[in-house]
Amino acid sequence: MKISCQKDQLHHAVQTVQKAIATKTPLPILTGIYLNAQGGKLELQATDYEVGISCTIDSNVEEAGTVVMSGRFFQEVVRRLPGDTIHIASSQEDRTIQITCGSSQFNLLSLPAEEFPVLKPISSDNTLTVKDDLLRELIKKTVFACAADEARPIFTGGLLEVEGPEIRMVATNTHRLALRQQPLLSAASNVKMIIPAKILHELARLLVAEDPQEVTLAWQKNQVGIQYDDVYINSRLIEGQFPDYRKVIPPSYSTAVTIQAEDFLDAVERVSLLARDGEYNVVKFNFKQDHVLISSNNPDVGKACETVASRMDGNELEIAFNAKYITDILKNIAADELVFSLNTSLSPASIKPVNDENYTYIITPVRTG
Amino acid sequence: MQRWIIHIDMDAFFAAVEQRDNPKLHGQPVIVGGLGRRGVVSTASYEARRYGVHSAMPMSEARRRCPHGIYLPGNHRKYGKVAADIRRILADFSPAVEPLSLDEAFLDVSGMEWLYSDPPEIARKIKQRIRDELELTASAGVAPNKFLAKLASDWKKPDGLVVVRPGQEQAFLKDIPVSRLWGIGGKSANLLQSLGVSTIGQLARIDMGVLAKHFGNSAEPLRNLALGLDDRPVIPDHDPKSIGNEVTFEEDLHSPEELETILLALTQKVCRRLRQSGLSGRTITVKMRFASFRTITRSRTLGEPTLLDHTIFETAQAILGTVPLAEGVRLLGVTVSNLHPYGGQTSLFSLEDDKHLKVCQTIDKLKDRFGETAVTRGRLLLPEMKK
Repeated sequence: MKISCQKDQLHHAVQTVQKAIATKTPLPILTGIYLNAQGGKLELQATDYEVGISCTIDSNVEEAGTVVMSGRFFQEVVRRLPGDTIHIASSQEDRTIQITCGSSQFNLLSLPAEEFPVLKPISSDNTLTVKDDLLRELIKKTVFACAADEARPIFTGGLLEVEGPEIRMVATNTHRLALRQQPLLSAASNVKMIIPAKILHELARLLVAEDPQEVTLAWQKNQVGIQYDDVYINSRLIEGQFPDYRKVIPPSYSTAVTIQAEDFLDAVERVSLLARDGEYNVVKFNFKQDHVLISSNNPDVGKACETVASRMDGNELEIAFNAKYITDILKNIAADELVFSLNTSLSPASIKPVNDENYTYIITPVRTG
Repeated sequence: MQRWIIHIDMDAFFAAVEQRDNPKLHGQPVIVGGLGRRGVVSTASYEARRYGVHSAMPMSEARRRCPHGIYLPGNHRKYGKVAADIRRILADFSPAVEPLSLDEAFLDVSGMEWLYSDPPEIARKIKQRIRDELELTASAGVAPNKFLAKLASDWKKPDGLVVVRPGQEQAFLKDIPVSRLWGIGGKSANLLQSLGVSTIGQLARIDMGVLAKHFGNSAEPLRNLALGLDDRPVIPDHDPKSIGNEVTFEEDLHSPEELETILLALTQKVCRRLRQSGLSGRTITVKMRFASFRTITRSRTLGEPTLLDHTIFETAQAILGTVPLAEGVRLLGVTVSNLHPYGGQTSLFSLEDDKHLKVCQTIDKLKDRFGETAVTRGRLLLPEMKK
């Protein structure tokens, strides 16, 4: 293989695939980045068998071929190379890969390219095409609500669902639930799939192009392929039955409180400073007619309280929540005002932006006393 | 600062409490323990010890050695109350009290030279108050660390008070057999014997290379103990690592149905204790000992911690179902570990669980008020009805 390409393009490609490089693996080949040069293109791939990512860029190919080299070192080297044009050439005799750019030269040992599990794009009629900003919005508004621990795998992913004219994503760790939905502009067939949170985070990170572009998802059995621009991502899907989230969204609330989102976030973060204790992070909310009293009490540390102005429609109420479940949504709410809706101090409550019926966030309270 | 640790060990605790409360038992060989065919001795009074009866001895052996002894099943509720009184006394002397069991505890009294003339004075006062307020005797060991304090309290039982002052450690340990060291069981003791080491004094002098060759990583801690060095802190209020109950049967059980019934009874006890401690657990372990004394444990870990009777029973039942019953079962036990404080965080998908928890808590309340038999499962009544 002998090629040359633009440094910023190669850097973009390496950055795109690097999250799929395996770190803890008994198979050394999976710690590598795979390069395939042919017909004016250079394709980079990495995979840890759970997720595989490929990125293709333009390249001047003098001699076609494939090589694999250490992902970690290749990534570092490309990031720091001087100059604009990078030359990459492989040598069969000593099994090294020469990378040159300006007056800088590296010779990296190659890994056996024939051992690399090359991605096989999913060829399936089950496809869905959406705008990248829409998909990113669905992910960013929900994925933080996924379960972090693997105890129940079904909750470590987000449910992507197309139903009639709506597309939505739902994530929950059983204590809180986030749901974002949007109308679909073009008709699509109904589908449900649970995508691992790790992939969703990665997608949200990658889908940042300035010009709107289309993302195509294709799926079969327990695999999904995601294609946009010059990138292809292949991931396993989480198998199992996602619980019926509709059942746990309360149909109505007896109390609705309107609060300035930013003031509320700041106050809850301050008061929760003293609440951080083990798994729970309990902050009490005393909703009054014209204000909310937020308080925390940690016998080992001390206590804190703060009031935030609010408008209430309904009954005064005292209720306790894990502060993190409140601050997580406030950081993602993207609205000046929010509505906190409640029933009793032991029943699930809802937080949503004012006048936005497409975003639902449900949290369960903590019993106190 | 010089460390000072006191180890308090009640003398023949259960038997002494029985003798205190029943003057007829004074001066008599009293043996408390399981009275069934497979019972073992929990405590023997000093009178009974003269006949060679000691704790952990099979009851049948005790009866053979001391046929005229007075055998009692023991009243653990009463012992628990007395133990709580003892703890109250100990708590008056130090904020750092680590109970080891009902009848022994460590106290860290370092730095209290300001309050008492001499640390042994504290031990003397504790013994005096236990005698005055509870009419019981305790033995005390006072030393610069836990290891020495425990050996010292055992040195002159009953009613002893042994002090090992800094600098006296090795003289005190010199002639004590190595088998008294923590972590030295029969095999290690034999191994040391073959190296010509039978006393702690010899262990302190043996070449480190030889010791390391046979004991690997444990050579270093072993040598430190032999030199009287031990820096383990006194830890008040051990959080439990697991909660479990087990039962040894009068006769080996063969039928899976009977075993399941016992399992249900055990699970209910364990779950009640979980809820009393405000804990929930994720790992459920079933322990079985067979007629041949082969003992197995099998565990399963749940997705989320629980404190519900039916969830834990169903898991234990499933585990039991995987064990082939080739021979009779002598002992059955259930343990819940991987404990988490039971927080009040409610859940979106467990409305059923909330209902179950309410039922369990209501039953607990009824039992607290009207006794353990106030409410029970129909299945647990059956063995009684058969009789």
